[in-house]
Amino acid sequence: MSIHIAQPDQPNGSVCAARRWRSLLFLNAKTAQDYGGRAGGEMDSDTLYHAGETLAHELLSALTDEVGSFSYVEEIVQCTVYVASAGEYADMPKAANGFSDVLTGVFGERGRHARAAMGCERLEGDAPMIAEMIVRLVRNA
Amino acid sequence: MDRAERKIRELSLVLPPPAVKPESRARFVAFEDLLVIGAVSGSDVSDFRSAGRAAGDALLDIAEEALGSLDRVAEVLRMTIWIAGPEAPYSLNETADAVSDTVVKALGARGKHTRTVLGVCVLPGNALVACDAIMRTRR
Repeated sequence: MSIHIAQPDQPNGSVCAARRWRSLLFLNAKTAQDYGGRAGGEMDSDTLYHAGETLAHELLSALTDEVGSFSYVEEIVQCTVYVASAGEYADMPKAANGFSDVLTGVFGERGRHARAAMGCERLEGDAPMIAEMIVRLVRNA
Repeated sequence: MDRAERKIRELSLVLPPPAVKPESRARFVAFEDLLVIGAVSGSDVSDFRSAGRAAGDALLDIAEEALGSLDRVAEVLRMTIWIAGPEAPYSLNETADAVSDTVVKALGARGKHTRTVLGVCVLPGNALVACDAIMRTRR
């Protein structure tokens, strides 16, 4: 698997990239950059799957920036994926699979996570997809 | 029974029940060193930024009620901010910043948080903005 991990962008002002509580790491939500449109509208399932992959790369980038190494990741606990959806589109799980498949591809069993995939009217920057993630870290990470 | 309640009884009015039974919904849950606050919105709906500030204020009011003082907020771990309606500004972030900045203005750096911003069709009570939060607390 060859994955390009982008440099994380720095949230400004009142928002921070991550917060920790004990062994849990809360990552700021990321949008699928370089994609536009809505599920059920301009974006077909294949494009949405790829947007999900890109979104996972964005969050992995943020995770790397926060902990330095994936070896500090005990497991991916929970992810919520929101899909900007038009009309009667209801196949959000398929769109979110691109996201989830990257995580299990990178971490194996440690990457299997609880997930919710939901449709939304609009998202930040009119992105087609946004995701948030909670990660459990090993001790002393 | 006050005057308004008597009037309602005289007129045999049957008011609809609240959308959520009060006993089945807590405005906040506190355990160990976490405070989890359910979604709130403010009463100011004059514009989206004002509604964002009002939602932030409502959230802080609940935190203060739960903890006795905002000094007991160690840090805000995460927030979800919902912005309603097709009339929402193009930049959802601008509206969300009104919420986030209100929290940081009150708590300083402890108020900085991770967040998710979502545009939705409609919010309870036709609110323009709503938010929830998870906070780490201290003694």
